[in-house]
Amino acid sequence: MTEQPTADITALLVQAQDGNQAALDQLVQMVYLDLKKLARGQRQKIMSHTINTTGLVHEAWEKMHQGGMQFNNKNHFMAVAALAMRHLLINEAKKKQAQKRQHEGVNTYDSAIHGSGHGPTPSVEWLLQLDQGLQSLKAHEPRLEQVFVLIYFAGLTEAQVAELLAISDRTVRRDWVKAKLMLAMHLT
Amino acid sequence: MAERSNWQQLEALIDAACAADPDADLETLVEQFLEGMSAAEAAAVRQQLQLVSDPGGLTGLLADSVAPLGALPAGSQVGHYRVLERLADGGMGEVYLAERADGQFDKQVALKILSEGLITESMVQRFKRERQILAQLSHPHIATLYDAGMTDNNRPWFAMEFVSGVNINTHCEQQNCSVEACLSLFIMVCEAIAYAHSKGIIHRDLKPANIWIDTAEHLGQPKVLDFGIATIQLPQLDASPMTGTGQIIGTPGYMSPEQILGCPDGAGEAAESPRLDGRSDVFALGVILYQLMTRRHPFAADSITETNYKVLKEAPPTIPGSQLRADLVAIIEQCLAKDPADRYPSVPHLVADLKAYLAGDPVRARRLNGWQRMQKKIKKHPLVSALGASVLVLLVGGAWLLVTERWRSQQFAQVVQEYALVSKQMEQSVREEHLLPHHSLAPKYSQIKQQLSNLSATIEDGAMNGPVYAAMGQAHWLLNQPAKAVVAFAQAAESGFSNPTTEIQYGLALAMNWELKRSEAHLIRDAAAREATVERWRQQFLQPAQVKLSVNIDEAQQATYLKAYLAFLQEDHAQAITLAQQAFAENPGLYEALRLGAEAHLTQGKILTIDGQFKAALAAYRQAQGLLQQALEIGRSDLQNHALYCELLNTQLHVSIDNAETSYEDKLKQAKAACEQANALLPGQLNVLVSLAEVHGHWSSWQSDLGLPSIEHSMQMVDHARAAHALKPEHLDVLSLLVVGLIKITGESNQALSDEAKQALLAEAQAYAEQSVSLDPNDAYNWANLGDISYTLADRGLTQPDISQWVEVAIDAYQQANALLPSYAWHYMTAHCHRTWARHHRHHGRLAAAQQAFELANQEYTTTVQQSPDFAAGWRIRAENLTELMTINQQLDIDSGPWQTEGLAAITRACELYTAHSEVPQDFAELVRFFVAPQAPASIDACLLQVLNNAQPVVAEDGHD
Repeated sequence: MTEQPTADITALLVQAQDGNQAALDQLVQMVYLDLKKLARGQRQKIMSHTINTTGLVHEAWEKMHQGGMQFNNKNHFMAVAALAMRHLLINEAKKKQAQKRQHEGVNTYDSAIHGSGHGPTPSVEWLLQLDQGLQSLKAHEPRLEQVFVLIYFAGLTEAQVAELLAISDRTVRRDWVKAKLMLAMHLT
Repeated sequence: MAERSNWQQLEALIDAACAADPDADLETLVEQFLEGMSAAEAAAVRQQLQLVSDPGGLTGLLADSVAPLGALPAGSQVGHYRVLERLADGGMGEVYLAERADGQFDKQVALKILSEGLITESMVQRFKRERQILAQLSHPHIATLYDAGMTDNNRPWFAMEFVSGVNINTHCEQQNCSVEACLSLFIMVCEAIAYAHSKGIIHRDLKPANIWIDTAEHLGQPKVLDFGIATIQLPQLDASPMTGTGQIIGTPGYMSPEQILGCPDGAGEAAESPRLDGRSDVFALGVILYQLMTRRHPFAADSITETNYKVLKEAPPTIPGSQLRADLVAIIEQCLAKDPADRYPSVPHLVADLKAYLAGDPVRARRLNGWQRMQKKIKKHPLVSALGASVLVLLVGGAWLLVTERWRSQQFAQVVQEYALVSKQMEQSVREEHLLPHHSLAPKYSQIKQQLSNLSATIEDGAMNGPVYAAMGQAHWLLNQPAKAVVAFAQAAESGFSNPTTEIQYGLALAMNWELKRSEAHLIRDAAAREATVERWRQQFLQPAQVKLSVNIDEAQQATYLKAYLAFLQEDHAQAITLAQQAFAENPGLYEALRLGAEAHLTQGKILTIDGQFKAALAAYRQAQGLLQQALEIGRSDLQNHALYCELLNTQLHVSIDNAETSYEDKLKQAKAACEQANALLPGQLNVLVSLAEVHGHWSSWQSDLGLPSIEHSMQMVDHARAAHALKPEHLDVLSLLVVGLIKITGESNQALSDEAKQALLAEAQAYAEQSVSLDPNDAYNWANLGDISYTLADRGLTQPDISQWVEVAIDAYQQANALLPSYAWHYMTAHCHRTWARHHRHHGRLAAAQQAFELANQEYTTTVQQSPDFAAGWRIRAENLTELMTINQQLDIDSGPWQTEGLAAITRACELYTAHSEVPQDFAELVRFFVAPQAPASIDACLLQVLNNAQPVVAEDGHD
């Protein structure tokens, strides 16, 4: 008879799973804003470049969980969060690129993203290329793209991905290795 | 194209390898693939592989992107506007003071910039449409929208009339406005809203923060801000009432019930929802009016869930007649009706009533409401106050008034009513207490106890006692005393006082008593006796409970919850879970339903544990944990929530330990914290104390297994067990915990305790052990406890003249245990007893007796390792005992016969077992030396040889070996 206040989210999630793009957009949007706010919070707390994408996604989940707004299934939330995280990063990269163009010649902008201090540092261009690579990958084999996005952007474990996509752990492992290698080839 | 073919090649390689061997090492495959490339190519791919494997490098991008957000410096340009200064910012965007950059007009504007988002094409279209509509709004009490647009990075902005002043609430408070002054301001606001509604625009986010009183230009005139902006952005997820400024979408506490219930207001394509209309704004206006008139929020709560719940289900606190005239109260109540159909159909209707009120004419709301309220009380809103009422009230509501024919006398009806009120008040106050943040319940409980004794004082001779007994039954029930509640309800029934309400209450008390009795029956370890007892309780409590509940279920207001409970009582746990879920969906404040679901999952888990299905059991426990955590978010001080959580975590801990999990420190901590919370709520609950003692017992063992000090936990274990013992002296689990705990305390190198003190503690433990044996002589573990304590006493008594009393009791106890439940462990302990006795004899110079006792010990150790051949310590101790036996044989000139060979075999076996687990004890080499010394190195067993080689060389200079 009475619905819970969170019914709209649950309903959206159901619709999104049924392939309703508008519902998915809306969910992604909700999580997107949340991620952004949390990232700002993290930033303020530690005043460094140590924002951790996986940590953010989990923080968003915790927060949503505590706020009484609940996705019935954490993995489903993570899937939405992975998309939101990807959008967030790509948007940031595009914005930077635009800024860079504006300031061209003045050389105020360093296109390299400040990395976490170890390993090679990806650039804004790199991220945009990765986005393109993901689009090609999706055209080639949608599941490879899905597995990659879930692990890379939301930090899902292979087991969680397996559960979410209803495939075996082994398949996830294989897809993850394939996707990484294919994208690496795309990026070189 | 090249890329596609490369990809296909790669996929083919990996798929073929995996088809041949599903466990193929993928890393190696990747390496092989890379080796097929040129070195430079492979290096480049490797570098990229590293980047796509770890998103860590992206963190800087985020950090940079979020830092400068919201900080538009003065002089920045947005559209045609130049930013002057920041006015406010909040979760959804910022507001700036700005001016036209092109000087086309000189008015300052408020520039509101919303947070960026994923703006889809359809959203942009709608945004433009809305902007056109909004631009048409021209009303003296609506802040004019001048312009709107999108920034480069997709952030919608609005330029609005700048109102300098304060919001309506602050204004009325600061100016200490009279009711009439407030109302005339409010009427102006209403007229602005009515105007917008006439244009087909709903505000959707009316609240004091959006209604400003312009103190600059139009002195004291209200202006409504942010019209329609709510429809542009998507609903915000964590709209907290704290975020204040910049909050633009559906603010909890102002959103109407239909908005909360997911009318897709302004969301995506479904903007024109047929269910959301101007009456949502009427609701928000009602909230604002309530606040203006009482200075309080009608749905104040400390969480969003609770606020939304109150909006959905609860009537706002009644405004005392002394504070406002009944007519005005009626107007507010009509605005705040849960069902839009019961509200003013439009804002002009509201305005008409407000004006009538100011003119002293009768208002429409009141005429309507009198009748409506009656109706509602009886039928429509049975759950007037679900969050504020107890389960009993929830279940049976006001049906107390339906007394039987026999009691229809006027005087009696009055008595019934009086006690019904007392009961209801007691219950409501208890449940309200349960909803508060975690705090001690003791004062509340003593208050109820006081009320209980007041009630019993009013019992007199005669026919009027029924309702009194019923009220007493409820009080006992509230105090978690189901047995006493059952007695009181039975007395009520005996007095002839019976109606569906009390029958349901009686049924619940019986059921609760059944659950309690049954859990107590689990302590009876003899299966037949236990079954008989359970059967007796089943007939005495469960069956009548089921009858009373199912017969009256139609009278219950929470029929689904009751059905769930009945399913639980019938042990149909799956059904109970489904129904409990349904009950909670029907009534989101009924956390008792969540708890019931958790209890059903917990019970399923326990059954699975007994079946040895640990994995499934752990999954069930996790489900229970999820539900219970949710229940604890609402019923934060509910004793039963906390007690069940304590039990659940303790059960999970047991399973982890039984499952030989190695790291369960977190589980120990969680269980301890949960049980301590339960204990802090109301000290002295038996089950909680037992759980606390168990947790500390596990903790102590865990510490000592790691070689860490464990005395503190052993002490806590005993303290809690003693407290439990004081409550229920015949509790066998408690007695066992006491024996084990006391042995732990005295056994550890505890400098703080004198020998006398230790002796006293052991004597105490002995008394407990004896008590448990006499309570249930058919339980092996009770005997084992007695054996353990007696052995401990004997072992400490080396210098005592006589230890036979203890040794004999111990050996007898282990024999009894073995007869009831055969195990090598009892043989092992018996052997220890004989050895201790032998050492005692030897100490006192009785060598022959010692020799015999060592032989008896050897027999028992032999039986031990025969029954448990993988018991490494068993083999080692057997060999150790043989060294003592052989030494004494030598002194007595007795031939040791096969002992040398047997001892060597024993240490060889022990060595194998230890090496397999790589945990050879430090002093093992010494034992090996005893048996292998006479042999030539060539014939020494390889395992033993290694032990000798690894050991420290013997230092001969000390002069003794």
